[in-house]
Amino acid sequence: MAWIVHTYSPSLLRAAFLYLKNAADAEDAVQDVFLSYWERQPAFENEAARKAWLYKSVCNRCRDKLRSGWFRHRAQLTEDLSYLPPEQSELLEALLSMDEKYRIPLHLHYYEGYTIKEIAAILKLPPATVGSRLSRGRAMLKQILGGNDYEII
Amino acid sequence: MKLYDETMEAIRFSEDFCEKTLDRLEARPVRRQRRLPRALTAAACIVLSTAVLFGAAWAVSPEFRALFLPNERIETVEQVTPPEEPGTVVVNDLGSITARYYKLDGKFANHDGIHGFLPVEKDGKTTMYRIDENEELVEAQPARHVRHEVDYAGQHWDIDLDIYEGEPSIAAAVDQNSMAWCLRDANTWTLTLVTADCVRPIYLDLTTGEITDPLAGFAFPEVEGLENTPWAMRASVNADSDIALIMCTLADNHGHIYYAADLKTGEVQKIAEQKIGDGVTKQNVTMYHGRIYSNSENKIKVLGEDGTWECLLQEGELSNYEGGRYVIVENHGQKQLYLLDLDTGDRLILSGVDGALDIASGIMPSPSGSRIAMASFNCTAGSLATKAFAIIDPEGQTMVTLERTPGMTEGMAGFLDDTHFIIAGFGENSTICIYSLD
Repeated sequence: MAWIVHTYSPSLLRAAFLYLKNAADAEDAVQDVFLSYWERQPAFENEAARKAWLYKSVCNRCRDKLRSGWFRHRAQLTEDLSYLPPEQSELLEALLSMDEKYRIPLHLHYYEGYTIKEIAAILKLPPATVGSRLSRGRAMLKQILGGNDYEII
Repeated sequence: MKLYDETMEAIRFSEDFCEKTLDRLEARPVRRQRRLPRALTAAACIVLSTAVLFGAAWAVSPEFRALFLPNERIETVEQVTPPEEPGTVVVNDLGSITARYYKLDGKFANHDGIHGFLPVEKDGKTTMYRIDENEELVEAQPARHVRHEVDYAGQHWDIDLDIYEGEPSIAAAVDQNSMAWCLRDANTWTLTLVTADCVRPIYLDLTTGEITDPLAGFAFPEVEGLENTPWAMRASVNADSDIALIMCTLADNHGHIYYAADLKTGEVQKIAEQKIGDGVTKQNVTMYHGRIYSNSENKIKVLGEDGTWECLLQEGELSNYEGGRYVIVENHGQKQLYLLDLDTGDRLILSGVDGALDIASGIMPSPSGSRIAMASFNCTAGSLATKAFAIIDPEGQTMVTLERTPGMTEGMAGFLDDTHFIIAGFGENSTICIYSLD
């Protein structure tokens, strides 16, 4: 279990951060998923299936949190990103300003390397929808950042 | 390395996140079953002694037996299958439930939740729909239009709202400026005030345009006294506007301090080491509950009338709480799901529900809290799609399961009001199924 937590925590925390927009909530969500994993001890055919399960669980947990009464009615905590270099801070703020439906597929595709079909399975969307969101998301990010994205992703 | 990759890897999380997580996992009962045989032997002796005393008390005392038989049980689960063909309007009578299936001319928009109205977006314009007295989905007309310019704490808002009013006090609005709004009641709305070190609600009177700050005058000396410590504060106020829960996050998210501010008396109470999920009020008593992470616990505790924390969950139970009076509890040992009433401590066993209803899924209370919806996930590896929603009526002790329409990927589900539950699809020309529950 220690290997699983150490191996997958970084990726899962980043994905949860992109959903919830702050580190404390992301840590809560990922910890919940590891707890669920520990309780259920699901069996997988290979590591890819395990990773996909963890990703799906984190996405579901984050979506549940976002639509929960507490999240909907509370004020959002603004993450202090001042520790990042300016260009990284600008990119992250641009990413977080985008609609969730664009930034999550972007992250899963360009950072985690998932295919459109795999993202469709994780996010429970038709593959064509994922493709169009990736295309539109990239265009939006480019627009937000002033038109130049060739060095970003 | 590309800028995106560098940025992602520069995001800071707790350095000891993995260690804290593993500590929590090791504290789970699964591991405890493997502990020292000597401890088991001692425990067995204690259990045996306790069982003898328990049996004797059980045999001679009806009051004692009553203490251990408080659980009601829902016996019947009714399955409701939705219409198969999405059409303009399809009405299916399914016993106690009527399901209506609509195809929307536009996209179902749920940015601010569902407050008795269905917002549908098309070509950048939002139209509100409602259920009329004949149970038909009809376009709603705004009761009034509100426009204010407000300045407060160095911030400026242009407020431009169409107000829709329902029965008895439900209201909703279309915001033309894409601002974040939270509904409070028909005439007073909550704004989110964001300053350099603070995120908290303030109230806007829609009639006069006046701003009220419910936390004005409250001080949090322990936070403000921490020199050179950047901190952020976020607060929420309960529906009755008498209690505020404040969470202060210290530098780099390495600590939280929780306060409860009684807005009527002005008292501030520090709630140390508690991870507060929400607060509810019961008559004159304010109850908070949250998961307790300290000492490897993962429990729900309620602040009782005597000011002490009462634990309502047993070890080995998982809970899911989304606000309101009820909590869903899963007991792995007994393989049962309960509905835990935070108000009374009573438990309602969800009989007939097996592992298909996953505790990791969300629960949603209806506006008055009279019904609870619980999403069901298929938890097998490779598929976590939402399968169905269980609608529980704790007072009437009924439960029905609403199967998802084949082919629909739900984008939003929730109570429109206490007697209508909706499941809406994604994207343009969304399909939407409206279940009338009475």
